[in-house]
Amino acid sequence: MKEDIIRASCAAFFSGRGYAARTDFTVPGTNIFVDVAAVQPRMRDLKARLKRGFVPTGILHHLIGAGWISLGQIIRQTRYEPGYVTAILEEAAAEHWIEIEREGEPRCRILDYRPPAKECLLAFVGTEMLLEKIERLKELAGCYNRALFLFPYPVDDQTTEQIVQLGAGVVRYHQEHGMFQQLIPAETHDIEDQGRFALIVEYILYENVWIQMEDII
Amino acid sequence: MKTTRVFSFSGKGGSGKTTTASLMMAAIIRGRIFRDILVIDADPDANLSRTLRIPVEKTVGQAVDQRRKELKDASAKGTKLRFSLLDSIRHSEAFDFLVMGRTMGDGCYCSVHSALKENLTETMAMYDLVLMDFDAGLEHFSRHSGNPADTLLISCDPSQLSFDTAKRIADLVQELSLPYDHLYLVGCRFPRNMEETFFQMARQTGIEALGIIPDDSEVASRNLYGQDLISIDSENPAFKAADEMLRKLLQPNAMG
Repeated sequence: MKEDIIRASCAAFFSGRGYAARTDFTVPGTNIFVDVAAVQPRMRDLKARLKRGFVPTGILHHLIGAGWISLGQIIRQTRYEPGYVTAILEEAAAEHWIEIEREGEPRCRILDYRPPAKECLLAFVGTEMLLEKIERLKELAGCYNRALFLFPYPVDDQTTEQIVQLGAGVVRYHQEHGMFQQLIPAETHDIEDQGRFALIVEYILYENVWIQMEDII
Repeated sequence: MKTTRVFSFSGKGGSGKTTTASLMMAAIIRGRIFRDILVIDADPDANLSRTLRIPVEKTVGQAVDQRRKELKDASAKGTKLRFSLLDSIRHSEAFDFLVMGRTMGDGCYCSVHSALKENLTETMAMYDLVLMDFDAGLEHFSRHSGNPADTLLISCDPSQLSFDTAKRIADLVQELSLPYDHLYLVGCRFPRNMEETFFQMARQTGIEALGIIPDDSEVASRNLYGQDLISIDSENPAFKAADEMLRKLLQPNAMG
């Protein structure tokens, strides 16, 4: 069975349950590739973005949990052009996402920021490059709540053990029935890397909302 | 995957469902049991706004009417129903609130109602708990989800009519295969000397009795003077009864 069938089915499964999903997802700011990422929106924060626009998290995630941080430091961390960073920060300040202190060296801090999702799930299809995917998941520790490995066939004990050691779940996909069978439930992890978590959820929600804009009714 | 828990309240008009829902909501907030809560007032005679002390600006009915009007005029763009629905949700510190209201337009516009159902289902999935208050008719919420955690509480005041309505609701649930995992009967305003009668009559309906919200002067006074129930004292007997019923509902074996 082709991987993309499982990926698409998995994304559809999550989408049908109120999650915003994305297949073939490269975690922003990294070269880490996830087969399916799904986030469960939080109403108030989603609405705030619909009114004020989405948070430019590519730059602002450096401010999450960092207190006051100088413009120079933000530019160094993002590695973007200073003019671009300044423009984004000015816009974010106008939308009250951040506060800018302009006396002396300009510095910024994020205001009352909360990611617009309460859960982030990552899923990998285990049929190819399993070991590499396990490594990818290890690199993403702290920025997701639960991870799943999907297989269209029964999995041997050794593979199961490798996955379970990471706290990830094992799911069997029955293509003929379009059914995901949870064999081993995933452990729930706390979000420790708020910046990367914010990047993931803002990015996926933004894309999903754009699609929803195309509703006819 | 997180599952949204749904508590729905139904029953004959005036049987105490809004009071029960409000007192239970007060218990839920004080118990800090759920984090993201949506309260939906789907009763055409919407009163939850007052008993929960949260003002209403827009109803879903108004959003549907507006969208229908826009769609009839092909040139009109307007706001998509999904986003109007989100706009209709009011936020308080402890919970979000949505009033269904009524549609005023004539004629059928099934596609709008169909879109509304889909959007409502998606919206409900964003919450840990959805508490719904609606009238004795269940059709408009039929098959809103296949959620096995859904619970329907049917309120009954001391009247035969109330029990008849409860039985009819239970039959409707079965007839329409509504996804309620548990149905409970809640007695409202039963004087102490009639409590046993409530349990006897509940047995005759075949619906499990969850408990009784006792006849309470403080609740009656607040209802009479249009005051909220959300701030009622924690020692109030009606509140304590609602709190106890909530605990029963949250017991693992109450989930089936």
